[in-house]
Amino acid sequence: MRAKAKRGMSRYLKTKGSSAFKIQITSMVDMFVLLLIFLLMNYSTDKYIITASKNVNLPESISDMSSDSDKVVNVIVGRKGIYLEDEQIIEFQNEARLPASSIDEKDSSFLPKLFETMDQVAEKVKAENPEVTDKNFDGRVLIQADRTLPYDLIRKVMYTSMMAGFSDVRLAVVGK
Amino acid sequence: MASIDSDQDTSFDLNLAPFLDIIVSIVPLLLLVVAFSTTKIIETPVPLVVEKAIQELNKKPQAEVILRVGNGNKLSFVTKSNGSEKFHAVALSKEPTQIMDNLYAKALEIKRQFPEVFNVSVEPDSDVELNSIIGAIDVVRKLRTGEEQFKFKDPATGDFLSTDLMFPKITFSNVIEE
Repeated sequence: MRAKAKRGMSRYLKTKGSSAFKIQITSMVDMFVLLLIFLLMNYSTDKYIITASKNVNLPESISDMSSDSDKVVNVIVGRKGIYLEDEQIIEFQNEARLPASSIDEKDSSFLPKLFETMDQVAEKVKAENPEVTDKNFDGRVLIQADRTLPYDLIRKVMYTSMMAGFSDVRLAVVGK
Repeated sequence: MASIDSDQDTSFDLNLAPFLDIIVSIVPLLLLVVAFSTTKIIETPVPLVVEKAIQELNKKPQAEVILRVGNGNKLSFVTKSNGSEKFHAVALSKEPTQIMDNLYAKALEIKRQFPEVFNVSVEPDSDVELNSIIGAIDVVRKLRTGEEQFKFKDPATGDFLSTDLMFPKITFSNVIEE
């Protein structure tokens, strides 16, 4: 009985061939080489990389200018509010509408809450760098604004930034 | 013909293992660090009143070019030169791409008139979306491929230089005034 089973097994192995097999790696190598070329082409060699905020759809542009400094204050103007770095400064009542309390009574372009926070940042920079004074302070601000926002809102942010000493204003865009 | 040995086997096996090792290591690394969407910047220095006055006194530009961006793609240029002001309306169309083509044609016409002006003051209306403003800025930034480059005189050296840039410097001039 046992001998019969053995004969059956050897016949099976004969028909099936050897248990060793060869992997066809040509297609895998092709795929990897293509992937490697694609990734190397998309690899960014910029010195400073701007991290776009999650909830903001930046406008598209053909601009190829990259950030040349990391000493930039990020102001994010989304559809729900205005943020300085990750801290919410002003919360919109309705979508993209500034609450009346956030606008200065005498100057309709001035946002006092944003000014106070940006002024604190400016004061911190001056305290850390004794050579920087009120006269030679040239703050840089990067505005990451949603593409659907009206210019009026962005203008108010630019105006307030300028009042706080951040006159070098840059707009963040997504490369086409 | 002695060098050709008909018995010699010309086929050989290429050892792909180290090559595959390298690729398999690089691909996950690149997948982790690659930026599929890069964030760029547009410089828009805010015109300070004093700075503007100093610039006007010191440089005396050939002309001032203003791009007005209105709601519903209403676009126009205003050029100020030698004390005179000229209005250039961009023809409207139902097709947004046609409006951008008209804007490009008008910008090209103005640039040919004032080749030494590179700054454009953008004056958008309050309710215009940022996307429309950036779109207009992009159109007037540089020449399209195939167009003849501009020649302008370098004030420092006196040499003639050629460039494909039209109005690359952007200033939002109505930030303060409005």
